[in-house]
Amino acid sequence: MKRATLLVLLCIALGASYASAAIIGSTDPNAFNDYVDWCAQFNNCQNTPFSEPSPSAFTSQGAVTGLVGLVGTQQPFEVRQQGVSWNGNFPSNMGVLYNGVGTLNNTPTDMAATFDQGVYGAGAWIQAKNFGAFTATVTLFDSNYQPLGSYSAQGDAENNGMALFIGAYDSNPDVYAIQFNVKDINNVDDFAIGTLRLNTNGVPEPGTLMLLGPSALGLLGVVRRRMNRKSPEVQ
Amino acid sequence: MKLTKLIVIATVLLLACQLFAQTRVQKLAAQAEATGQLQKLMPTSAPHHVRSFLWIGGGFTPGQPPTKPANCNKTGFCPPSIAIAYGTPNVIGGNGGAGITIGITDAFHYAAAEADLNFFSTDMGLPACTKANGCFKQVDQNGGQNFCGSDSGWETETMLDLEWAHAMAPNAKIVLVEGCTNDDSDLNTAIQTAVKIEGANFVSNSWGEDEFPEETQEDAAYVGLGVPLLFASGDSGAPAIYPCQSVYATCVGGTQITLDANFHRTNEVGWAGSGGGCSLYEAAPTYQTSNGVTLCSPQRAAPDVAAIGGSLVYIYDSGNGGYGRVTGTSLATPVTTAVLANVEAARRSFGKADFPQIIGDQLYHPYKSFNTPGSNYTYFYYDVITGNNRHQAGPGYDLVTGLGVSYPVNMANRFFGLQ
Repeated sequence: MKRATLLVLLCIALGASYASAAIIGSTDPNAFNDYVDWCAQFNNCQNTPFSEPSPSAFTSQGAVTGLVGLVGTQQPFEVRQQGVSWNGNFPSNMGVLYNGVGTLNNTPTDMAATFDQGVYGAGAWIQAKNFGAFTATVTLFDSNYQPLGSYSAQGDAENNGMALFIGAYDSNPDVYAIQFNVKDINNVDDFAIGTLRLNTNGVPEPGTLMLLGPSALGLLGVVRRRMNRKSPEVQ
Repeated sequence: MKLTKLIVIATVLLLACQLFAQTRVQKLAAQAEATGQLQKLMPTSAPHHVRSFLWIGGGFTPGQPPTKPANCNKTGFCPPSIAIAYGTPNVIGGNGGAGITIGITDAFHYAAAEADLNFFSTDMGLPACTKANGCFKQVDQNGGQNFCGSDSGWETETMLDLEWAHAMAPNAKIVLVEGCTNDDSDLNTAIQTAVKIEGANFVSNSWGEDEFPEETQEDAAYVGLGVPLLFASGDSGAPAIYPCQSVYATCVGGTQITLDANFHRTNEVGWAGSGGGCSLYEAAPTYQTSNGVTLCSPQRAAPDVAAIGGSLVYIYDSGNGGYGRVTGTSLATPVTTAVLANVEAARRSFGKADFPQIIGDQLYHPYKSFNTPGSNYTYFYYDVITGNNRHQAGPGYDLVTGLGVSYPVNMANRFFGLQ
């Protein structure tokens, strides 16, 4: 009995320590339950492209509020729409936010979104403006705007409808900002993001799931041993 | 009888001589001015007496027990009302200005400065700020302890500066550097000491004088100090005064603020007493002209920014009877200094550089896109659009409140804040 209890506690402890480790990157938009449709935020994408101030306010479908804009500059960003004013590989008609390097002569810079409440994670479809391979990186920040961790993935900027989705999440709703960076074939930060996805429900991490197995087995073992011990007494 | 007659004659002669001399000097000055020789008659090194910009609004009753005002926030604001209204406690990474040293210059010596500051802090629920805990330091204009005489008017100014800088940035260090007199040369020495010896990251200066032709030469005292120097714009409405008009200064005008029961701002208007206008002698700096403020071009426009400086606040000054109510751009200046201290602390927490002395580059940049669809001016400033100091306040930059009142939370934002 004592040994089994120790086993369970050990499993739980291992699971807990693993869950508090670094953020988990993801290229699966379905890992994020909430979203911000930029067309819904900005004039229904009427007469794109048009400029919006950095930062501009948004409200997600699930009522998370926040700001989006260019980082470290007070230049505006552009609102565009896939297939209408953006010739790229975002899903058809998706509203996209462009950092305006090629059109507004903006300084190449990252984009960021901040959240007025903590969420588990965030991500977005992303594409470099120049066709070709690119590396996208997302960094999550806590409530003090200190980095929680980063995640990078490779993309290929084409117009084939296969835009990269890149996001990351934590085990706690302690994510208050996400920053997007792209290094394109020219090593320039010239890109757009599509729909912003947020995780407000929490995502079971693969590692935690793996550890839940042994925990469950341990619990099962305890129950079985107790049943086995008690059985003779009944007789 | 004879003696009286003699005295009368002597007096008349003396007055006649004085009148002659005065007329002669005026005539010479007028001649010199006409021929461009005025500088020769007026040595540029002559000290100018400056005045503080403080309005007394009541209280200060000697003999009364020094208790916290029962009518706080009704007849005058008390901490933390203005901090909440301006949002300094919500600055992410601001931590009340921790790690930042605010320099405050004032004239003459006030021996009870530390005791009064801490009486006020205890009463108002602010952290202690003492010499013992390293928060407070008081030095003479050369950085030593050889203090000069006292002046009851300047001691009230001193306590306003100390108590409201501490109220707005409760974790910042404060160094009070006392000029021996209210000559501008002494106070300029105090500024140099605050920065070069005491390591102040900002210097708050609630004093000044009317503009004078040699002021651009006096600017030399401020060149190369490397940290923002904030000055009060004056309390007599237009025009603004000097050194506020110096291109090396950040000039702070005054507002009147209205708060709701939760200390949230419901309105803020330009104060009629707020100094402001086009400089007589200082040329427009590029941080104004390149960002779209050309109201006074080719001259400098003032103020740059504004804060509460026309609404009364309580201060504690034991030398003048305890609690009393004051206001003026003498209030706006330490308040704005402390607001920027919070912003700088946040910047440091994100690994960003400290503000430079010519903070105008940062402050005015958001105005560049004013009136364009991509403008984020109103993200950084509460635009004060009403009020008159002989100039009329209005949308955007004006000569009553400058760019407006800072939003420190937004100025400090890691991603979207000031550059």
